[in-house]
Amino acid sequence: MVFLKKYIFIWIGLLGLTMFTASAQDALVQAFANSYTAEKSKDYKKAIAELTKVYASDAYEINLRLGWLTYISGQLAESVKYYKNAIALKPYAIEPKLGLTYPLGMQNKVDDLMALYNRILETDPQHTIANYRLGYIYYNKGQYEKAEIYLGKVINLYPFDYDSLLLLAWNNLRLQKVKEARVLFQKVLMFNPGDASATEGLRLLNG
Amino acid sequence: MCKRYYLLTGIGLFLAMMGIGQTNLSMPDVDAETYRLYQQANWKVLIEAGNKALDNGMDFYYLRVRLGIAYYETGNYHRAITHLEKANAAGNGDAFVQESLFYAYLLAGRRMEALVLSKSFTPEQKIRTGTNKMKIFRQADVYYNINRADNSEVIKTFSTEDIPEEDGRQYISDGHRYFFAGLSHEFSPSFSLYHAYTGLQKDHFVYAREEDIATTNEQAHSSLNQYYATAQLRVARNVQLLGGMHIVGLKFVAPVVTQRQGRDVLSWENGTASESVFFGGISAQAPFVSCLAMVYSGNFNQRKQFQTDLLFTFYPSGNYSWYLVSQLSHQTEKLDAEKVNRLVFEQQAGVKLAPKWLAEAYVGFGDMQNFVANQGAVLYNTMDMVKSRGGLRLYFFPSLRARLHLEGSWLRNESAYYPKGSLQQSYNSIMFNSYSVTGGLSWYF
Repeated sequence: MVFLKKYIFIWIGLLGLTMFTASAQDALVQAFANSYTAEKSKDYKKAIAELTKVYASDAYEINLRLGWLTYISGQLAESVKYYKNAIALKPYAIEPKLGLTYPLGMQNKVDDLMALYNRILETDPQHTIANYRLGYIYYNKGQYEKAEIYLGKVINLYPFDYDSLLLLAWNNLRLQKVKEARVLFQKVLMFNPGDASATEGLRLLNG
Repeated sequence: MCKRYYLLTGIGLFLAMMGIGQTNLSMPDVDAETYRLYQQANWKVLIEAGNKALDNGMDFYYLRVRLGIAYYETGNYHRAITHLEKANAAGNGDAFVQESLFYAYLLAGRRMEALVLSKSFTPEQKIRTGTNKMKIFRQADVYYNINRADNSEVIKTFSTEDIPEEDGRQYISDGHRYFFAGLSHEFSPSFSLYHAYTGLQKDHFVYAREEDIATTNEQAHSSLNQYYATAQLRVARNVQLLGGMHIVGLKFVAPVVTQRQGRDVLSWENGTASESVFFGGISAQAPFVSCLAMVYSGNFNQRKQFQTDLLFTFYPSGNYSWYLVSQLSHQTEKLDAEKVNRLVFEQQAGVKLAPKWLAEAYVGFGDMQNFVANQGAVLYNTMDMVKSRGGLRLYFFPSLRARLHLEGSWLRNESAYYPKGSLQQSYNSIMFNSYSVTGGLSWYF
């Protein structure tokens, strides 16, 4: 009898725990649902508040979404904080790192962005966005040799991508690689006939 | 140009295009909208949209850059500075932002801030902005001034009826002329010096009474050699300290009692004296306003002066298209145990008449005697008291290096008999006007 009593207590305990967990999970799902609804109706404060109610510092998904919501509502420092939390929770994840580029980009934290893209490339060396943006940053810094490395990788993966073709064409022009630049500008014109930037590039090459 | 385009396209826009547009007040939409307006050079709408975003807590690097450029392009350099300073502080030495801020400082008249900023420029930027070498000779000025007093009737009808039988003097200025030559030097971005020589010739009518003998001299003449120097030191962002001196060497004729055939007679003899004023001050600039506080300690005409000035300049449009300068001065003058306090107020208004023309009009009221004006550069050290003055200045800029200056002014003077050793007592007040014309050239090296 004592033995039976013990099992009944354990069974009741497990049932209670399961019900509690299910209820907590339901609350979390509901909080996300409410947050999406609020975001859709442009009420970012409410969207943030819905998730803050169920916030747990070790919840990757909440930190990631709060990173986005605080970013679009203009709270850049908060956004950085949430995205960094998410990165700490999932160090190999790429999505929070790409998320973190939003607030960092808005603040023109170029060095931080470069470090972040390099971390992404450590995990995924062929990551197109990270390669393109690093190439883009080096181009703006006037470091055309370095830019060429990253843009070349993107072109190998996407040989007919408009943005990458155009940027690599200009980069080659800066490097005085006339033949390569001309070929790339012509490819841009194949993608977008009459493209103003490519036409300007070819004019410079012919002039 | 291509590089500038890419710089302003910015990573922010790139990311914004990837984001989901939610509302007019979402960060990605604000970024995209202000960038679109920037590309269209729609400065007024960009300013409205940008300020609305800032009011709603959206504050990011590219928004500050775009707002700064929008204000710059619309000529509001003070607002442009506010935004470009924030962008520059947050950015990573972006050359376009740095150079835009540099020119905004220059066009707002804050040359020292521009030079300090240029210290962080790359060698290419320094060459581009002409800041690769300090200008030991920065500016040279030459001026000539003629002043004529409208006092012929006053002198003709001069009467001593109201003058007590006490030793003393009464001067009536009969005009002056001076030549002024100044040079400014920039020794470092934070330190500059301006110094000048003035040679001044003065004519006046003098009535003097000495040991009960009275005499007049209708053609008394004085000559003054003056040296003026003022240094400026930047001590913090938009804050400078000023200090300097103005030394005057005088040659004049003075009545001296001599014995002639057993009788005392007053004769006019040459004399020399030196006078000086030392000064210091602090100036600060903020958006749309700058202020200057000065203190002066001088000794003119055997009296001691202590003067304080408070000057505010308002730039309602954030530039030199029009501006107002208000100055209040308090002077305490001492002679032995006597002391007088005087207040002087001056109001000036400047307006840009055309792209190369600037005009300034000014009026001043108060008791200007042994008074220091224009941060120590101008001395009212005759015994005539200037009760009010007004004038009009016209500046013409034929090129970026040259400035021509033409000025006409009017002074309402009061001449009075001052008994020897007396500061507060004066008799035989006579009012008369005098008129000045000044012409000059400033050259910027």
